[in-house]
Amino acid sequence: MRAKKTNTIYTGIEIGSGSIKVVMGEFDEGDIIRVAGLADVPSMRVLKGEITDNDIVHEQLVQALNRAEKMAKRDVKDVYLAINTGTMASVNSIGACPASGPNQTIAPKDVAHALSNARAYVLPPDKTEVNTIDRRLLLDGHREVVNPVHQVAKKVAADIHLMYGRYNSIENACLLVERTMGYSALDACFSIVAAAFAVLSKEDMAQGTLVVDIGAGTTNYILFHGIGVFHSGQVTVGTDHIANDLAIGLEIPMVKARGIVKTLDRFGASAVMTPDGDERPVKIAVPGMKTRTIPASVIELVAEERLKELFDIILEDLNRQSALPRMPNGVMLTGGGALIKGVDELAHRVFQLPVRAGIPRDVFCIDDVASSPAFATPIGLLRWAKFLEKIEDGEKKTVTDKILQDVTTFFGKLFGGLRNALRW
Amino acid sequence: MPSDGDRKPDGEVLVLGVGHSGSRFLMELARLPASRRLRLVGIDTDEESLVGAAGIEVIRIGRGVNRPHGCGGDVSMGQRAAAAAAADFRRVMDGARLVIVCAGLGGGTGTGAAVSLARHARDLGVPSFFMVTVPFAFEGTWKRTQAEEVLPQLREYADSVAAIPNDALFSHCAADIDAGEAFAIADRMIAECVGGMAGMAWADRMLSADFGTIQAVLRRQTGLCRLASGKGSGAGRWTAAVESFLNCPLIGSADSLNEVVDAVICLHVKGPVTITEVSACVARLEKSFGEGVRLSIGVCRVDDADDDVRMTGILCVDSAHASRMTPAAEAAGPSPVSEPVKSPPRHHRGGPLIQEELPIQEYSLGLFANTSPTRYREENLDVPTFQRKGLKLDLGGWKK
Repeated sequence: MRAKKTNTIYTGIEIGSGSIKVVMGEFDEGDIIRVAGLADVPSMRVLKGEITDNDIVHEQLVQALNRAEKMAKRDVKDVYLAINTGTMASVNSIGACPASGPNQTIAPKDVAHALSNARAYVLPPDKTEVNTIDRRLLLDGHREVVNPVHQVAKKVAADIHLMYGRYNSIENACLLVERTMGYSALDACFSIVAAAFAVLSKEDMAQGTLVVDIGAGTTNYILFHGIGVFHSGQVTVGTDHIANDLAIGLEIPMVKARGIVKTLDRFGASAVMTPDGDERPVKIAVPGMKTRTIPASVIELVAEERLKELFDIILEDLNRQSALPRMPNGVMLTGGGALIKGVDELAHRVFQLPVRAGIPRDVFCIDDVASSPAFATPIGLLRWAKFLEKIEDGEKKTVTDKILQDVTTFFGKLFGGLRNALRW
Repeated sequence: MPSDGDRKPDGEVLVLGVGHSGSRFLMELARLPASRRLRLVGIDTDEESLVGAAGIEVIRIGRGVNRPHGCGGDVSMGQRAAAAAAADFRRVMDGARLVIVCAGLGGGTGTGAAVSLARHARDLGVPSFFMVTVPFAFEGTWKRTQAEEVLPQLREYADSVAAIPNDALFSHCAADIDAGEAFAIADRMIAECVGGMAGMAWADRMLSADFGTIQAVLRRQTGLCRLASGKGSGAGRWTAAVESFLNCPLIGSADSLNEVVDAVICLHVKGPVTITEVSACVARLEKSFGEGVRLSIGVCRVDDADDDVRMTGILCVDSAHASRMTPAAEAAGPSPVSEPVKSPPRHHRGGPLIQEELPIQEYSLGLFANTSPTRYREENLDVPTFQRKGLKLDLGGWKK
């Protein structure tokens, strides 16, 4: 059961492979996030989303929290954690229930029972659930509807999307936060869910938008469509892989390679290769080594091959799920990888859909730092927290939310938690 | 039209239930009217299995190899027991028109004996169809690994394999259903599919798809195959049958129908049939499948069925969809989604085996040398992409 929030300021923590980010913020009228404190500390002992040294990461997290507190001039009290371990995966589960309403119509309790049956999916003992979100509601096995209640049908089927990861990795991240704060996080959610909450409007979610979060160690993706999440996934490849490829190919230190990836545009290069031979020479200066000159197109080739492969893997997975027709709104790129010059053009070539940078919406921050795609996850955590609070407070009073209330009450009894039945 | 209900096919249709799960399927199948024309044979290492079961022959295997109460989940023990019973297997299968083998993978007897049975069936030239269940996700990695390891071997020898995730079987049961009842429902579902499929062998056919069509589909060997059944009675019998068929948990979700490339669906009808009913039913089925599916629909008349309309279908899935694990799931290990393992390329029977030249390549991992490898389609993604693709970096004036 989630602990109760104690103040109005929300704090989101993301322990990533590239950096540890902390964002403290409040909600103004009109759902605008006013960022009070923000910190971004380079991460030293996280590889492909896995914490390799708890003590070092603990120190860095303390550093990040102190910086954010100093900027906000307030103490961090309630925190929300983004789960970004390199062990995340997803599965869909369907549960059905025959109509029990008058004249063979679907009653609210039928939907609740169908959801309950879908949720009866048992994960292997070494895995644990992070988020479960509705995927589709089907009448008679094939007709997708938003609200099945009072519809004439023989049965209703609830298709849910379950995001899970390895228990040990997730618990390790949660315990690290608990050790640092002295209390556990109020809630933890899969980082891509948070990132999507930051950049997508309700319309984007309903119409179908793919969000791809390119981090340093992992790339996560999620497709929101209709009533919830149609598909999500993770590839444990990120911008660190581009840097590693460059370090190996150009025989330069990893630090230098990371710098090149971050500032491709400064070298006149991008993620899309222009085959122009030696026409754009780039000087590579490494302390203790002789300065060399290499063609910019070589750097582009390495970056393009890696990113294209990454997008191809995502596209293949989406194809397997027959998901492409469900993303007319195109693709949004978030995370540090979204800042690489030309990455949007490359993604457009692969997906053949409109691609744009996922900039956190409705955020006010003094120096506009929080409006970067790199901050989508911690900003999204604040929206996620607010979203959970709204459900608990029962603010939503539409017809579908009334069903949700019934369903959440049902789930509340069954599982003791509200996050088990999320709809918007 | 006179019913040919009592007509016997040239050879018998043999249903083998192997191990504990296979024996349960057989017991359930023996209760169905269709079983009267089938030869049911149970194969188990457990001395107490199928004792006194009416209409089922029993072959005890593993005497002297196993304990009297089965293999205890030890696959090697099951393999040894099967090897010792090779003569019994060949005797029982010889001359059969079709062998349907039902087994639960993940345990000792079923997992150990399945490949042996498939090999004997192939040697005897008898078409074999394996209907195997894959353990529940909660049964742990060990059982799942045992099941997943044997599937590719099975596909190499069997004509077709339907791997049914146990999790899928229970998706339509209420969450609070009694476990015993849930297993009984699942067993009945599989038994009905097997009974319906075998029934095509002797039914009185009114529309094309016959037993030869099934054999042809099985021979195409797309690697992954699903069975489904549906039934309907009374006034809306046709609609009810089609809907229950399309919603059969063994198919998976409605999206799974788009992955089907080959389908043989047989309708067993009791009593008179009108052309309008059949054409409406066929139109609904065609609409449900994706474009390009080779759909063969047959209509048979049977007089001894319990239901007015019963549909049974064999759906072969495109091999491209055989593995649906997400990239992350591949990296994280076995997924709880019970999907079959992609089958290895089959050797041509009797053809020469040629060892391809294996290139020696030098790979570097750099930063990721000490991390769990990110694997995707048998490639380690931690190795630089340009290296895996064999691209030479043109470093201009430097290091030429």
